[in-house]
Amino acid sequence: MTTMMTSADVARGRVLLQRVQDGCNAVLLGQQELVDLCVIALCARGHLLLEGLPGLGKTELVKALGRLLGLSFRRVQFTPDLLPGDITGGPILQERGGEKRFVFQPGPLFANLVLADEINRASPKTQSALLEAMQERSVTVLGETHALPAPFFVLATQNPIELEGTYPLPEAQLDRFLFKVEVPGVSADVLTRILTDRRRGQAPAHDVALTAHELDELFALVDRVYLPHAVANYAARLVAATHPGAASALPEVRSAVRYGASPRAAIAIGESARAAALLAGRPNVDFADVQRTAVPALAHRLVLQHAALVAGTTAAGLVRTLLQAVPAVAPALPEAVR
Amino acid sequence: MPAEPRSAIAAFARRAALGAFVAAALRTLLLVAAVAALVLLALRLWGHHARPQPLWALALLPVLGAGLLAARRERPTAATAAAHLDRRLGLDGLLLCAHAGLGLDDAQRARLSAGLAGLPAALPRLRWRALLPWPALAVLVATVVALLPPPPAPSLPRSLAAAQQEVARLDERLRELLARGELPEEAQRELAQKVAELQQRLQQDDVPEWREFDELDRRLDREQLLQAAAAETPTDAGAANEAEGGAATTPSPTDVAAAADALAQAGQLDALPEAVRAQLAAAQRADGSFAADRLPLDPAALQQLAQALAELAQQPGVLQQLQHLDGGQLADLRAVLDAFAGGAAGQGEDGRDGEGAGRGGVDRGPGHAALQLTEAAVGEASGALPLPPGQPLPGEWVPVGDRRAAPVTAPETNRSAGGQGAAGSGGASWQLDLRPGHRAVVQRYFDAGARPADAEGPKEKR
Repeated sequence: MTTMMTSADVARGRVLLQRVQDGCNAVLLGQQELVDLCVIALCARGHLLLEGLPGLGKTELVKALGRLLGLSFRRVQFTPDLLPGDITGGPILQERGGEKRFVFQPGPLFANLVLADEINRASPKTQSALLEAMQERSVTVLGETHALPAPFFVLATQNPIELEGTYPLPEAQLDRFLFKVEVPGVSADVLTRILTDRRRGQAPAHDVALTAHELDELFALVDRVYLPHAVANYAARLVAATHPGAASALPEVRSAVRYGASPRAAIAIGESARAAALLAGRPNVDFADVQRTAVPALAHRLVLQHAALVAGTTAAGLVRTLLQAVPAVAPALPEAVR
Repeated sequence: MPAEPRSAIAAFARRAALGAFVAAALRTLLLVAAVAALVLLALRLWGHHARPQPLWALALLPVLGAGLLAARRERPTAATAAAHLDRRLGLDGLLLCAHAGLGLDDAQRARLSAGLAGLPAALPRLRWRALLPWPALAVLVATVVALLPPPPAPSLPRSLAAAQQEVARLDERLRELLARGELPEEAQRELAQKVAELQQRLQQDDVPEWREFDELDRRLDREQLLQAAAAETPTDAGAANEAEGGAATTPSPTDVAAAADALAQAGQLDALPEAVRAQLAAAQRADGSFAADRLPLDPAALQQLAQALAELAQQPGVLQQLQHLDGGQLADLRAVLDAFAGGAAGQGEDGRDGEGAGRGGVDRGPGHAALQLTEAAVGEASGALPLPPGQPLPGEWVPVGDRRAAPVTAPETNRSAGGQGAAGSGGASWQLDLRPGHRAVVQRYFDAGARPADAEGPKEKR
């Protein structure tokens, strides 16, 4: 008989996650949901795309994550003149012992945690250089493939305004991000706390929350979270419902969606739901975990019709509609019973 | 005591299947009850009444069938039931893990047991308020319609006692009819069967409608009429005629032949008028005797012949010449001849006038007017129906029989002018339609077309 995670394991995982959560919340005030989603994405070993107005603390959050996890952290400010070699690295002619040869000089991608700040300002060529790194976790330069350090996370930010001179990320690259999280604004109470607790907005100093060993332990615990078949079926039905050509597609989906989510979206939901379950103190994934991770995992993977965009339809709104419409358990009970 | 996960899941699935069964059965019951109510109402509108019978319980078979089918089709699988139950119990997927066979530690088992303790409240419950009203209403309506009293008779109130009295009266009337005279066997059997059928229905409390009694009554009227007519013909009719106007009875051809034989043997027939002798000569056999079946069939002619013989016998000395007859035979002959002579009394002043309607005489009494039946009217069915005295003509047609006749299949040629069988076919039409000045031209044209080409003469100049 397969044994499920014990309650002690669940408690251990929750303790580890709580440390990271507390550290992030200390840095980013009033953004509990954002912090949770970032932690979930990291535990699921997925890349994260943060979208929000300037000054909301996106970069600060990523920097805090790097420091809390004790991982190597690099920051790349993406600009239009940034070249792929600038981030992947390249061969440099070096002379050692009287002998000259090309030596690969790793770029900023060779870190555990890479902050791609304002990623949509780089040219598509440079954005594409991230594709292999994000999916294969390796970099190929001049025919030589160099593995990136594990774990490897890309946390990208982009600004939804000032779109002149930017290059929207193509769908293929968007699909590589586990979550796309919109960073909300903060309330006046939070602003008051920021003003009173911090001088010049400087975040308090914090120590490493997790050692490398503990991070590996946390990843192992996440992997042991059980995903029941019924819950997996729910996630699959959600993803299938995003396709306008499906027989059971909602009218809203038929009219607004041009292309639905890929199977990679279902995988993303499954993995992130595992992390969400552990974060919630469960040894198994529940329907609520799927519902919590569905919006950030699905919204950026839907390609909407132009008319729907003009009409103000958002992908996140569509996913929320799907969450309301798709029953958690299928088939549903007979209508005669309640 | 908390239930085991497996049994809890099974109980949940059973309850869901029961819900599906009940829902489908009630839906079908609604349909069946509505249809039954409509059918019963339609039957009542058409004047029928169906009494509730145990056989009607068969209508529940589709109800049960639909319920079983739905229960089988909509019964959730164990995995589905586990998912539903897990959500209802708020176990956050713990029941799903247990159902998948994963080992739980003590804390998880304790939580699962605590959650399963609330199983009774988490089991599916039927939504009676949504399910029951319409089927119950339909069943109520169908029951009320089925239990409605039989509809009253449209015109007259029908009661069992009155119907029994009427049947008894009709039965008595039939018996009187049978005792009074003979009825045709077929009519007798039919009437008796009809009366017996009515009596049998009354024994089963099935009160027939009054129109059935009326039909039987009219039928008895008709048979009685026919019976009376048969009784009047021919003897009573003759007696009635004799009593009223002294009209003669149609003589028997046999008696006429016998009288003619007796007078012929005495050689007295030569004194008869020429026309009478011709009629007798036509009926005379080779041995000199007379055949009754060769005498005139027309009663008037026969009466005339008989009367001529009677007048001959009344001449002095004629009967004395009949020496070949003994006393008894002579008395019989005299009685016959007297009867022949008596038949002429009351016909007219001289006994010859008014022999019959349409014969040129003056009709001074209810003399018998013989019908000259044509070929198409020959037969009993088309025969005259003498009415009994005092019996008015029925107000409606009374069928007295029917007959079959083969249709005329031999076509008759149309021999009228222009017809196919007319002489000079085709000639008449153009003579009628063409101007006289053109007839010769048309005639020449057709005559030329009828001749062979080589026989044609030189064409006319145009």
